[in-house]
Amino acid sequence: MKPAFLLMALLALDGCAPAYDDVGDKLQVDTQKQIDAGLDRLSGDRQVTDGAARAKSTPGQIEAATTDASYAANIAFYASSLASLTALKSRMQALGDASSAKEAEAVAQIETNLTQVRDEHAKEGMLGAEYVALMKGTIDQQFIPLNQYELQLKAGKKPG
Amino acid sequence: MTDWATVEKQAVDAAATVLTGAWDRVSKTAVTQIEAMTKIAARMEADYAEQPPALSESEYQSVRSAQKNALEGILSAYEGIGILAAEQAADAAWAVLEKALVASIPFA
Repeated sequence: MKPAFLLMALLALDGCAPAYDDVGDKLQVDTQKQIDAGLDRLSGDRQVTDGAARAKSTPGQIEAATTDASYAANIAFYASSLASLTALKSRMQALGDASSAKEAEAVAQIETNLTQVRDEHAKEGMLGAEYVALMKGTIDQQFIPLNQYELQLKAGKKPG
Repeated sequence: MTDWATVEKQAVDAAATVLTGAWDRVSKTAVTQIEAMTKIAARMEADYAEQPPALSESEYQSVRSAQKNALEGILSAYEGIGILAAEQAADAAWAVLEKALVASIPFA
């Protein structure tokens, strides 16, 4: 391909908004829901084992929540959530436009943060409710620009 | 207690200094993220004032690292901002927050 033609093609691509990808958008929403549900459940269990809900819980409920909040009981949650993030990142990279490839970098940092939660859980066996709440807030915050990006694409706008 | 509003402004200025040129484009998103980081830093300070604190040292280090990753990821998603510049901006912003936290959290 002649350099001048290639340059024109690249300039044309740069001027266009990337196409809205409904599969990627749905995957993104589902992945956030999956992570939120897992961290909310973990936080709820810790409220029963160690937090405000302990006083109102029966010994049987405390024992069940202790088991549910362990690392061993959450290995599947981490594996499936991290797999969803990898799939989302791959989908964005596969779209082939520069803008979506950059969004994949933001997904990679969510992956890094969830991996940190998993590693901390594996190391400590149990996580504190405050830690889980702070990490969930951080990850949700990371999803906001990604959701804004999808909404802009859906509206046919070129993301800023 | 720390004047977090002032610290937040300094953290925003630190990130803006690193991203001169691109700041106008990213400022809205970056400021929102730095506001969230500042709220978390303030919450960590308040947590440490409670004895025993809810966060262990290793959890603190994990949250700290997550804040930098979050800002770095959000900034590097912008075209024209490389991973290195995003990392430097995130480091600069968090360094300001951490300087404030050092006064109240010994392992900060």
